[in-house]
Amino acid sequence: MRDLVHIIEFEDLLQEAGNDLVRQAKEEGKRALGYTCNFMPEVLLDIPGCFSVRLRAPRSTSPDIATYYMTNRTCMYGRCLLERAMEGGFNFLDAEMATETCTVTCRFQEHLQRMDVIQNPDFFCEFTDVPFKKNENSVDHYARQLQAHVLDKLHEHFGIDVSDEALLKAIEEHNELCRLIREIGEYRKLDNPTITGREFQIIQLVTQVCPKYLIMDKLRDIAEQLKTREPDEKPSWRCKVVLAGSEEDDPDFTKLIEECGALVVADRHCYGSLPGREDIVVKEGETPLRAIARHYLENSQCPRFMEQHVMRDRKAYLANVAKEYKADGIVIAQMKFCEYWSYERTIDTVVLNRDYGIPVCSIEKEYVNNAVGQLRTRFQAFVESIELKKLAQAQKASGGEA
Amino acid sequence: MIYKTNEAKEIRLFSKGWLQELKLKEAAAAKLEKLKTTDFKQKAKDTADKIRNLDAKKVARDFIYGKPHEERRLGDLYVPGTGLYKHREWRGVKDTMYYFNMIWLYNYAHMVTDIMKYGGPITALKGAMRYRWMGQCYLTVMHWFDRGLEGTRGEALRASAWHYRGMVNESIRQFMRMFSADKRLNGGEANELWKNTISHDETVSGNIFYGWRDRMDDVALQMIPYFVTCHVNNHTVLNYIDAAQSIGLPGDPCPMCQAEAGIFVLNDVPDYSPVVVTSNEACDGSVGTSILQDWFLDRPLYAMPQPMRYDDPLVQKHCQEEIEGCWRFIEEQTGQKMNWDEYVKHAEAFNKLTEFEHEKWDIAANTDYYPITGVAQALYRIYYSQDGDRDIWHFVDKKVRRIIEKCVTQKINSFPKTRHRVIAWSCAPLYYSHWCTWAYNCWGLNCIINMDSLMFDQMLRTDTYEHALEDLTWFNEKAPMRAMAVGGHEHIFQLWQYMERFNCDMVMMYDQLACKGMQGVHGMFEDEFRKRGIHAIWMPHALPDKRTVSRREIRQIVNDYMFTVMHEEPLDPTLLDFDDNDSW
Amino acid sequence: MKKAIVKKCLKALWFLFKVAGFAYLILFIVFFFDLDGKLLYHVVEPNMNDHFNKMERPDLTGTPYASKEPVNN
Repeated sequence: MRDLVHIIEFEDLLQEAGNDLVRQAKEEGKRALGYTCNFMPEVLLDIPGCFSVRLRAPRSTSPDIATYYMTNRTCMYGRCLLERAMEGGFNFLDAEMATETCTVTCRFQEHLQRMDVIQNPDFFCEFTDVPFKKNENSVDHYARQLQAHVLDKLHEHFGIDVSDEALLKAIEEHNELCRLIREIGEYRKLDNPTITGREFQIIQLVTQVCPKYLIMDKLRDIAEQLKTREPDEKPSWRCKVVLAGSEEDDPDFTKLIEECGALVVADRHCYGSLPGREDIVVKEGETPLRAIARHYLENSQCPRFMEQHVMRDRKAYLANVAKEYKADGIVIAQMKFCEYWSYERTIDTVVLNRDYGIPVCSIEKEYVNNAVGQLRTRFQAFVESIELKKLAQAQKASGGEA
Repeated sequence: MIYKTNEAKEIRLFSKGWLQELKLKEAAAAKLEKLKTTDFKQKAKDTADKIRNLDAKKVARDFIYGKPHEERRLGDLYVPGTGLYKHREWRGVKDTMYYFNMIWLYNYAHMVTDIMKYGGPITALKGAMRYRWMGQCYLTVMHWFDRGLEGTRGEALRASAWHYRGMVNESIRQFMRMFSADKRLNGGEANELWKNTISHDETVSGNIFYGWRDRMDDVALQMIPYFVTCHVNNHTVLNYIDAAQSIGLPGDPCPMCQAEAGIFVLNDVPDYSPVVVTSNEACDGSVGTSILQDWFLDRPLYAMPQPMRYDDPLVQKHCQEEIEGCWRFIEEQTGQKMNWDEYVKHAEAFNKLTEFEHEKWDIAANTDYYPITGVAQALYRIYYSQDGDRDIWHFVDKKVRRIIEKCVTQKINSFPKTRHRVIAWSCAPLYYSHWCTWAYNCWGLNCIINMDSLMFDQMLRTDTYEHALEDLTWFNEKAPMRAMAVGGHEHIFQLWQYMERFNCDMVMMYDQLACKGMQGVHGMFEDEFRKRGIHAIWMPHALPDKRTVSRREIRQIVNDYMFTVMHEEPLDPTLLDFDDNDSW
Repeated sequence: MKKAIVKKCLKALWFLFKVAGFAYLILFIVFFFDLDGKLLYHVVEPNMNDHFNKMERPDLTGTPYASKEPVNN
């Protein structure tokens, strides 16, 4: 396939957290607001006068100082973020809008709060409590929290307009971005997709780490190009898979899977678009903030949710994604030391195969992915097993002839 | 029939070659050789000299009052490897007879009478044969007492033993309720007890269910099968950890949560209730465990999460509504209405326990007359506060109050060899909760208080429904392993205030290797210890799993610190190093 | 007659006292030499362990995982 327009530029933008577009937005007087978790609604941080940056630590190697502070028995994502912060890589941040949604990222953010790591006189770090359920009580609670710990703080510190009108504008822009991402993502559903998993991930990541108003035109260009983009005549992939699991912001990891012959056609992980890029709908009589709170709770598929029907529906959701995107299997990748996904991965590995007949490749990985060789072997074996399964099915369909 | 040797080798008796395996011949030959080479004349002469040189007064004094601390040589009492005693400690006539009559005989007898009282021997026997945690652990209870009471004398022996008695009684009551209601032990039928029992995650406090205690009972799912058994006989829990990993769970999540999932994987939790109430306490791992538990239990489940940022005034309303939601869930599922008067009765009774706890803290903090060992303090506090109001806790508190009053009025220092007043912080090794007795006997490190004792520190108002709910909410937010560990680093760093409050000069810093929350603040603690010049010993452990860091290794770490940093000499050098690798 | 009964009772009581005393002594020996622990450690526990190791257990990963209706609110 021909190269996607802007994809090289996007790749460059992912090489550091304080990239060119972040610097440009800062120069234009906008406030950079960091966050780590999907439960900090990016739409609120993209309110006029601010922009959201979902924190990553690209090109990390060995997080030595962070390992002194957090030991080597915690999730490497959290440690690499702390290391990057200590190196000065997040000094552009004006605030960290924190959540205590998983232990290690919470501890990382507490280091920012306690240790004067971010060298920016305006910097502050504020925590929001995020509920574990999706009921009305939780939506109300979440909305109260977002008001007090996000909107009120932004207004207090930076004089940001947090009126309903400002929120509606942010929702409108956010929905526009989501519409573009969905449109781009739709091409993954084709029998022979015209976008690779890696390309899509780069685009999705750029939307999370760059000021959105600076990339909208580029996204439109990509969407336009995809309308006519021709797939390779002979596909380079041998099967299609969903990539599910915990934190995943490394396009090279997706590339590794795809090099083994499995095209990643759907992304249901912390930095993925499924779910995450649905329109926020403000219902009649509902405040924009409550709509946002409801949207982020209702749509999330995080294993942090504890209601019985929600825990169980998560598996059905994932199976539906695989079906909708015509995937042959699911790769469930869990960041080592992630407690939530340790359990979720265990049950997914059994139930998705047993109840939905979907082959699952269940792996554990580090943020700095040094186990490329081992993982390559695992993925190659998985691809082969899917091919064998397909072959057996074809034989069965044709009456069992060899 | 199997016989286990001191080296933990299991030999099947009467099977082929069992006699050779027992190595009786070799043992007899060695004995014979020893006899042959013994100079009996010399030996007799030595013994005669020894007797001649004996200070008869001292011998009599040691017999009557027990040996002074430095001469006890407690480490010599162990059979290597097993943790068994060659003989139990002689504590002087009065204390030995107290131990024999009022602890050993009394508790063995009550282990029988309690079973008769709460459901009968047949039910208990069925449970013992069906559930590993019962069959393998129950009879080893007295050795749990032994470990926790080692070296104690006088009022410390008595007060601490009463704490253990309370824990044993309530554990028996709970597992007998489980067995009596258990579908599996009752021919697969749901009896009335099954219908009238609420099961809940062990991290959900029993206080939530007071409103039904006049007609129903609430029993935690893992409290006895997992938590209690880790203290009593830590061999059992290893099966559950392995079982959880056998279905694909990685090895790095908190082993407590792994074991809690493992008991379900091995089908080792009685089927005693139609409903489940679960919670997100204490950590991400607990949430994860709920996923597997729900799968295996497969029955109506109510999740009652507590907010993480719990001292934010804005979260209280949400949490209150979740508690009310739980109450509605129980009413809907069981058809039994909550009885408000019953709630009030138990909440007020529980306040009495809390009041006494505060008095205990006050004495521990400000005097040298607190007679309770670190392990008894820690375990009793967590057992009763998690369980909620029960008669046995009041019975025990009454006994203990009398002892404490005696200590204070007569100025009895039960730990006279205290060199350092220690506060234990973070979550403790369950397989070595009795490290405190060892540390005192060996080094004079007196563990005054521990972090988990300080949770649930909330009086429950009952004057209005709103006040009751408000306090119950606060109470549950400040649950064990959680009050200090979540909701902001300021909670975990309350250590400094508590050190001051309890007049402690040293920290035993538990280093639970798989606790992401505590690992995540490791360096900040190191920095603070250095900055404040505080002596802190990091005690690595893996909560229930002794295979990761053994008790012997833990002792070695403490020894190293005491020698190399504190430059101190042990009170009892025989306790420095001994092999208890395969003990309970 | 009365005297004989009293004598008999006293004798029985003395006998009981001796039995109890003997039992008490035996129990003290069991206690002091940790014979209860030794029996449990060397014989009871390994056999119970063996019993539980041999016990047939269902594979619970076969437990159905159906969707559920939300509970209240």
